[in-house]
Amino acid sequence: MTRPVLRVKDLRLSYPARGASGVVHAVRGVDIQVAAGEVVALVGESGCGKSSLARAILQLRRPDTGHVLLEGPDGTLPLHQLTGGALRRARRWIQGVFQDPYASLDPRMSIGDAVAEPLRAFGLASGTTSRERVAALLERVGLGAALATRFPHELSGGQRQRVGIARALASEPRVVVLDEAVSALDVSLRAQVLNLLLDLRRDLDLAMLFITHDLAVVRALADRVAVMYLGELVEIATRDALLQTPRHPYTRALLDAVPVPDPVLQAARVSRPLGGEPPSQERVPKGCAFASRCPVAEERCASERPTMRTVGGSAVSCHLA
Amino acid sequence: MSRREMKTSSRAPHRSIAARFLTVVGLLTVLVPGLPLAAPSEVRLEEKLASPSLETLWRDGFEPERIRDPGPVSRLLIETRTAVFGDRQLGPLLGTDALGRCLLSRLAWGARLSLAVGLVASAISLIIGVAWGAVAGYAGGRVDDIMMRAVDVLYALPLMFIVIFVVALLRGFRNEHPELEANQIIVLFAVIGATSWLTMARIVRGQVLSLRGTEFMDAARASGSTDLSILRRHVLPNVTPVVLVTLTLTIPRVMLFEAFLSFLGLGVEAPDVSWGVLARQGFDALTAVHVNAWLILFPGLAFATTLLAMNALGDRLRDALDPRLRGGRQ
Amino acid sequence: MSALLTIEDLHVRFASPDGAVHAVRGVDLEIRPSETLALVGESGSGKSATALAVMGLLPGSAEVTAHALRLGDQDLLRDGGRRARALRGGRMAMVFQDPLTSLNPHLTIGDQVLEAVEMHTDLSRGAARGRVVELLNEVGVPQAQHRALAWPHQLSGGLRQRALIAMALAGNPSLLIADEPTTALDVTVQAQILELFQRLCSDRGTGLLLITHDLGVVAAAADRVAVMYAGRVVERGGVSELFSDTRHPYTRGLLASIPGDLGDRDRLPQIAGIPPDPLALPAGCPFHPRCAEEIDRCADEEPLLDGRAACWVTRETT
Repeated sequence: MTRPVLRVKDLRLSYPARGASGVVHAVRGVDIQVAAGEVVALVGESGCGKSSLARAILQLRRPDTGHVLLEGPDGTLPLHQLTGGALRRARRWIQGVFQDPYASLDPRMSIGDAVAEPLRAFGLASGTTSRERVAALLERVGLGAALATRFPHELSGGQRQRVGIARALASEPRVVVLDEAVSALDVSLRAQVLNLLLDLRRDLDLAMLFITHDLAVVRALADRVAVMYLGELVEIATRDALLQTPRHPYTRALLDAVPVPDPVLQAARVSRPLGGEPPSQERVPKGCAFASRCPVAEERCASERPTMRTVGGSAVSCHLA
Repeated sequence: MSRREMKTSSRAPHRSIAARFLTVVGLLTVLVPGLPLAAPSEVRLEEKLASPSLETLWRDGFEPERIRDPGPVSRLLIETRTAVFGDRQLGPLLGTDALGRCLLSRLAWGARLSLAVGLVASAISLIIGVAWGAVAGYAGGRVDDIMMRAVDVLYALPLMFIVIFVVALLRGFRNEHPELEANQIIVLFAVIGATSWLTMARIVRGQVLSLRGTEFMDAARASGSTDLSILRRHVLPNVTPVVLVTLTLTIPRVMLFEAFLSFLGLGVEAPDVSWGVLARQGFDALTAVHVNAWLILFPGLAFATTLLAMNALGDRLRDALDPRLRGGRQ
Repeated sequence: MSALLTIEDLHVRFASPDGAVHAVRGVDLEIRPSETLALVGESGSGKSATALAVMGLLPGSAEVTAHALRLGDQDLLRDGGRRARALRGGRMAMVFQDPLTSLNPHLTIGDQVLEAVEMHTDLSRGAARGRVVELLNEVGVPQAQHRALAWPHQLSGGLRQRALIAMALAGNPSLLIADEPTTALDVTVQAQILELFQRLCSDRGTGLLLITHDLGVVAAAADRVAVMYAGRVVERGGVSELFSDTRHPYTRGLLASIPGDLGDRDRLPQIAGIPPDPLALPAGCPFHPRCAEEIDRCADEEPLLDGRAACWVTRETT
């Protein structure tokens, strides 16, 4: 792979909780890298910690331990160590697009001001220049420049999401982290936004970490895929390798569970839906986190935690891969 | 409804009866020096305790010098008034008090002071309360704890007694050092303002806390804005609706507090006049033999209608501002 | 076999500050016992309004008219919707999208299912409690007796949805309506819930009206499908023929825009434009401004549902 722009090593994040144990282990040691022009999809279900991971990478919640290294124009930025003004300035190179198009825009701020915020915060443009840049960004994401004077409640969900993307692009970042950026959109709008992202990847050589639970989006957009379960990565592979030869039992279960929009194929599948539920993030099991639901689990799976190893070009964390 | 709709709808707060009423009251209050009213301190002992009547609508005898310490704007208004009306003035349409002073005029001039105290003291409490609440809510953690504990302690203190104590202290101090011409009204503003910000602080803090969890706040941080910039550009505008509504409730409370202090003799001093002073004097004029009801009735009505209008406006504001955030196109 | 649910020419109108919204504009549907009918559409298509009209859950200001709206032989429009209210929760029951907001956070799920059981059966308190555990078992809640004591926020999304389904089953419904029941759930949980629905329908003979925008769910769970756009059914048919012999351009667009392998393309196919504003529907066929296959007639006259699809182009070519 070409030199990675974003390197995350052994990231851990936990936060206090109300339950008996008092701690929720959201992210339990994640290693992942994204190169320029690459889309890495991070797949997982609710409670696996993927949103916490996104926030930890963006330093919106400071990780407990671990490295987050970003390649800026002047060298490597250790985001996990930066604070105050230095962290703020480093944010220029790594931006985020958030899930809820209704909540990610300040309802009292005009679209133009919202998109201009990074320009102002990083001192990149002001006054007329800023307005021109905002207009260009809005056009880039397929919204008319006239929308700059409107307010979020006047826009549809798809339009708001595009505004979020425009805002993320304003500072010309190297990395964009997208947290479920299309999940809240209607099917027909989803394709439009995904096409926009495809164009942007091609034109801007952006590194994108796309967090999603939707495997169809993965199929369309991803170069590599990482699968997350209970705070850790269980498999990392190229998209084709993951979809054709999944090596981790959870990945296989996930792929099995996605209904195919073809009733003939769907009926022909032998489907045994994965039973049970993930263990609580407060009481993380000793061995493999998936052991309680794994159809092929053995004795040592419950007691020994597996480590990530390379199997046939993919990285898998499983004793039996 | 969209902003455009809100401006034209009949439910818009600025078109409500309350808003129009308050606008009229506000305008009149500002223009009082230019109105053909008797001087509020003009004593006519031969007319004392006259009940309201329309007998004498107009008469002569206005003397501009009787208006105490007019500011430059007031002076201009008075000059305009004398140019237009000469020395004619409206008669005692609402009756007179124990010194024969015109109640209508005193009510009008008293409005200036009462509303001024209401607005200025509320402004002080607004500034302190919003700043305190916003910082506490945004900072969170230890800072929030300390700041809100302070508020809790202040809440627990009997503020009424403290204000009375402070005012009495300042009076005594001034009496001993007459050379210190401290403007006692300004002291009144400050004292009332300094004790009314607690509720605002709590409300603002609550609002900021709920804002902190929203995605757009995370997005603002990710966009590289400094904390100060976020407070200014995101927190304050989103806190404004709640603040405005609370303000329309704070002003009446503050005005009543001033009235209470003046009633006790600790607020506005003679010869200045406020609605609270009038209430006191009206109360004093109540006797078993002659009720002299108008002296307390009209100040009471003035208070009641103004405060009612403000509360009603506050309600309308709340309705208009909240659904707007929830409504709009899906 | 007689129909369980019969809808003929259903219209739903809302009064809004901007004018009357004609949310449902003449919908015909039929569901038979043990059958699952998927109602597909995006936001604004009128699918939810249709379901709410059947259940009698629309606000009083909504105007509901139909040539026929029947559950079995019960006229749901009778007495201004009172009949619908009487049957609601009993013979017909509804499951909503977001289990978190559909459950009362202050009551345990056991109490909430108990409330449903007591309202729709004559069982004594003790027997009702037993029934609660039975229902929770039937919907696949593990350790039902123990879980009944849990509060909603203590349960996962999947368990909450199962609790809601248990509440819906309390009155032994012959018709179940599920409005986007799995949209808020993970895909593995979705698979479990869809399998549950299938089992319930075949075991109990319940008919299911499944509202969704996800064609994958349709393929996995439905027997027949109706596709809605701008308040009308634009295509209907058996599930296999809908996918293999699609007759309406909108349905084709929906199928094509499911994100999938790009293959040799560098863009995903997408439907141009945005769904129409219900207050300002285009003249003629409401889909024509976005349709790649439109002909002149489409802008002038709205096509009626004729056989499988409501489309002039299809009619011309068949």
